[in-house]
Amino acid sequence: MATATDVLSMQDVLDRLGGVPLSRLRARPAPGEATEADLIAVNDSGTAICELVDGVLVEKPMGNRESLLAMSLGAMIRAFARAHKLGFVTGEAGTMRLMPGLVRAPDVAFISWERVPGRRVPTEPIPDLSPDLAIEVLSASDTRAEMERKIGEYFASGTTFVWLVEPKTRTITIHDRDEPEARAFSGSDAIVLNKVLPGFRITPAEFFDELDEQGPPN
Amino acid sequence: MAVATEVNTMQDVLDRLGGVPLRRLRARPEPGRATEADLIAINASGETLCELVDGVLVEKGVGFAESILAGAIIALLREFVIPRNLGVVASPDGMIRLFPGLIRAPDVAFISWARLPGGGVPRDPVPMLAPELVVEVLSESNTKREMERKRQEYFSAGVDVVWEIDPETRTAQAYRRGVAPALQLDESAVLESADVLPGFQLPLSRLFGELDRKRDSR
Repeated sequence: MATATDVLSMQDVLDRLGGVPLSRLRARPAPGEATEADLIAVNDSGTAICELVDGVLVEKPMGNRESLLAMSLGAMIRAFARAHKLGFVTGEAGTMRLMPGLVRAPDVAFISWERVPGRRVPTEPIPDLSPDLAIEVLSASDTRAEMERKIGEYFASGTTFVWLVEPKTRTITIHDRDEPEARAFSGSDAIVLNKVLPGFRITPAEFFDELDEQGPPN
Repeated sequence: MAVATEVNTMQDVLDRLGGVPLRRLRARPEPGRATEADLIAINASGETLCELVDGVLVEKGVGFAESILAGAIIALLREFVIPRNLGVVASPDGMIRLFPGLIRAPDVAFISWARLPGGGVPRDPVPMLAPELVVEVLSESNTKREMERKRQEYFSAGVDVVWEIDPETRTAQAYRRGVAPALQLDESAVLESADVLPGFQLPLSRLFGELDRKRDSR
């Protein structure tokens, strides 16, 4: 997690955000002044999906391939979670309050019923929630420092697993709250998540291969 | 003046400011929200010298050699202006309101009595006026686009002559309102302006020679 240092210049603000491109920081409301109401309004407008970090609306990068992968992973996890009545899955606009003033929208999140009051899908637009599993599909404008901060926040909020999915190298790096080192999976490596989805098993190849799919010849 | 384009992201804000380094933008008050009162407060604090542009507190690029050159220019100007009682010479912390909400602090400015309200020294901490002559000593963090915008603002406000001094290349550029090409001057040239200060001469060799001064050898 980024340490709280003196914020004097916009360079300090950007450093704390992990050096994301300035084109991803909304100028209005002024950076540092944005509230959850602003976040809801901008996300509702459909112009961008933002997260709220340090009072700044930070746009999530969007891309077609990234979205396909997120959808594909989300679908597999969702099918399993529903079949076993384990919990629910949210997509790339699923905002959740990890901590007061910190709202993230993981590309895919699995939340077990144990984590939500009344074992029901929350009704608020931004529920207080820490997912069991948060998945981020990396785009060109995501920076390493930004992701490190994000992983730290997910773990601090109580998340068990964070996956970083990298389309370029077709790897999934799994960060486990209880393990000191992240592990990279690719090809036919088997991924299991017994702590949150007992019995679930996939390989990176299974969904990265979707990027190579073609339509049947005419 | 910079054309009013849509400001969506902090990249747009930065573009309008001419791409200055982010470390020169103050984070508090949040960019876009700063007022003249904020500017006066921060400049009075003595920790930095800012200008107010587009509601953003922008620190002036500063440097030691630049400061020596500004001091030398002020001394030479005063030598000419005071005995003839032509007006006042302002130094780098002299804030001037060019337009409502736009406050610049030129490194050096000459303002004739005719342009000073009441024909005396203004008591307003940020007087609204347009100097006849503005001198900016460039430092490493000044961008070309920033200076272009600044010049256009000065000229729109009614400044007649802008001199830019570049210590790095030991050159100067002389701009006149309404005259498109700048006069490019090298170290052997003499800066002068028959319009605003007839008779005043600033030999650049003498000016840049200030940077070569050393103590006497023993």
